[in-house]
Amino acid sequence: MHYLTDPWHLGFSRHALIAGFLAGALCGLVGVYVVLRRMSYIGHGLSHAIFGGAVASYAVNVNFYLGAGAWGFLSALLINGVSRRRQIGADAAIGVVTTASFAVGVALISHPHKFTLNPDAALFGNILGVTTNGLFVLLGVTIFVAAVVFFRYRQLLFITFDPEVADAYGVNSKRYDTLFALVMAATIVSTLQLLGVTLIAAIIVVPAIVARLVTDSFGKLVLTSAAVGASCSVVGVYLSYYNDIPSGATIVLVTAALFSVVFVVTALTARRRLSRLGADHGSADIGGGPSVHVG
Amino acid sequence: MHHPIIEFKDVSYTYGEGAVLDHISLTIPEGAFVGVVGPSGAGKTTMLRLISGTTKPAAGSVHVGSNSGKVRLAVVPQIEAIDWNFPVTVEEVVLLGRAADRRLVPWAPASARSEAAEIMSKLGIGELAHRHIRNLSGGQQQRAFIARALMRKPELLLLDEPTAGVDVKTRHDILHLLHSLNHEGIAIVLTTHDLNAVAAHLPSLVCINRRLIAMGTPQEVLTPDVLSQLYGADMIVIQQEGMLLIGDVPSAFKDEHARAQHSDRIPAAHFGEQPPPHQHGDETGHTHERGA
Repeated sequence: MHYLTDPWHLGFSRHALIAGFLAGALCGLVGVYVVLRRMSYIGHGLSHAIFGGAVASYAVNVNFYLGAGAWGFLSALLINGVSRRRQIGADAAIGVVTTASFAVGVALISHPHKFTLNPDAALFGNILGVTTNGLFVLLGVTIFVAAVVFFRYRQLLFITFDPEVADAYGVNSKRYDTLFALVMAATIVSTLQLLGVTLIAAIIVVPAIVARLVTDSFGKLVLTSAAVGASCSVVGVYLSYYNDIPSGATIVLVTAALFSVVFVVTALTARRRLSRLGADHGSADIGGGPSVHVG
Repeated sequence: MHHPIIEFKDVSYTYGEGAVLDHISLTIPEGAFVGVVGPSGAGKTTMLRLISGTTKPAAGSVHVGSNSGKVRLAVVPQIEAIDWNFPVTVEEVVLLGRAADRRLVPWAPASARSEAAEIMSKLGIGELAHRHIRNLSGGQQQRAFIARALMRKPELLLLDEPTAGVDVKTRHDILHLLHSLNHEGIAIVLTTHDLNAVAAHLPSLVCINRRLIAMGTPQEVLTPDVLSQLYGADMIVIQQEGMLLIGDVPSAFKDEHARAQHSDRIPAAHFGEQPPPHQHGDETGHTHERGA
């Protein structure tokens, strides 16, 4: 039992557990829209783009959250704008915009300024080093994103499911694309230092995929994905605390392990159902369980 | 005298290379039931997008409105454009017809749910409300999206190829359903490749191939000349008991010589008794017309 309670006695690990819970729930929530819009690499791309924004903010002495947030928002808007051109898909738009933005960061960091960024923390995250300020920013962003999902649930569902005709039904797709870009940028900026540039994409995408494997209802998917993200992150923080492994890595490993288990169990369940139906009817045609598209 | 609900004035549209629609002018009256036909790439879907306002014309103007002002319209997309693995149930899709309602909470009010249930029941999919959209037949999928459109209480309903990929019975049922909706006062514009279906069910047609080729009743526009202009290929039109039947003419059958050679080379399939002796000439009693 003390394994569970010990981390709560220390300030830094208590902060880490709260941050893990919030970051996991936030990424799980946003991940549903990312996966269903077939933009799984936007998390990966935007975190790299925001790395450029973070370096630029540091170079001109602007607050990290403001500078990197504005940079990320602009990058997400550019991705939306580029992918609206029919010849260019969202994946190519993410590739162009985010690598260019990352390159700006690399160019700036190569400049003879004295940067004190910790490359390990930037790449793999350091949730155990979360500050009170960072925790409040994360709490604010989580409340903001949860409010957007709650109050604009039907409109976001429409532009995710059937964007081509959303405008004809009175849902302004451009406005909601812009709102989604803001949500994405705020999510990445508030979780970047905790989860790391290279691992954040997995924490956005995997909980949504796990949830997709167990439900066919959009409402249940949103709640399940947020719950999976939050619980995997908390377990990951515990593992990080006791094994001295970067928190981003442990959280990703826990989500990946859960995905593997759910994948195997749902596959076996579907096969058993198929053989039972085959035995009952001689032959059967089954639509199959829920399926997932990534990328 | 019906007022126009859709007016195209010298409308052109391009996606970058060449005109998709070229100087189209037409008027569709309130309460109309119109089929837009033409070959692939003729601009049929673009025409629907221009009517729905999701695309703006490059030149000219599109006016959609009734005597009483702005028209409430709804769009039923092509079935092929839908992600059938998307995690939504039939009821969730239908309730999206009210997505733009000013309501802060995510769940639909009881009044909308009972209205959705009523519409689904009317369209014969009431029992399928909680089923995932992938687990429906082609006709049921089409009805789910028509139900979503009806939730908007549309005065104008736009359907992009509603009869594509469904069997003959389902196609008949869908067109019959659209007929009923039209009788209730909803103006309907649909695109299709199915000339025989529109000839049998629709009172008026618009034939486009980037430019307007013809407009009128099926009897007026489904002629070999118009079809030849429309598709750039020979078509035959058969009239039987007031019905129009349209078929294409394979190039191998264009002349008697080629047809004779073809029938000599390829054995015919027969079931049951031995085939009758080969006969030349037309003994069907149908009136044939063939394009140039």
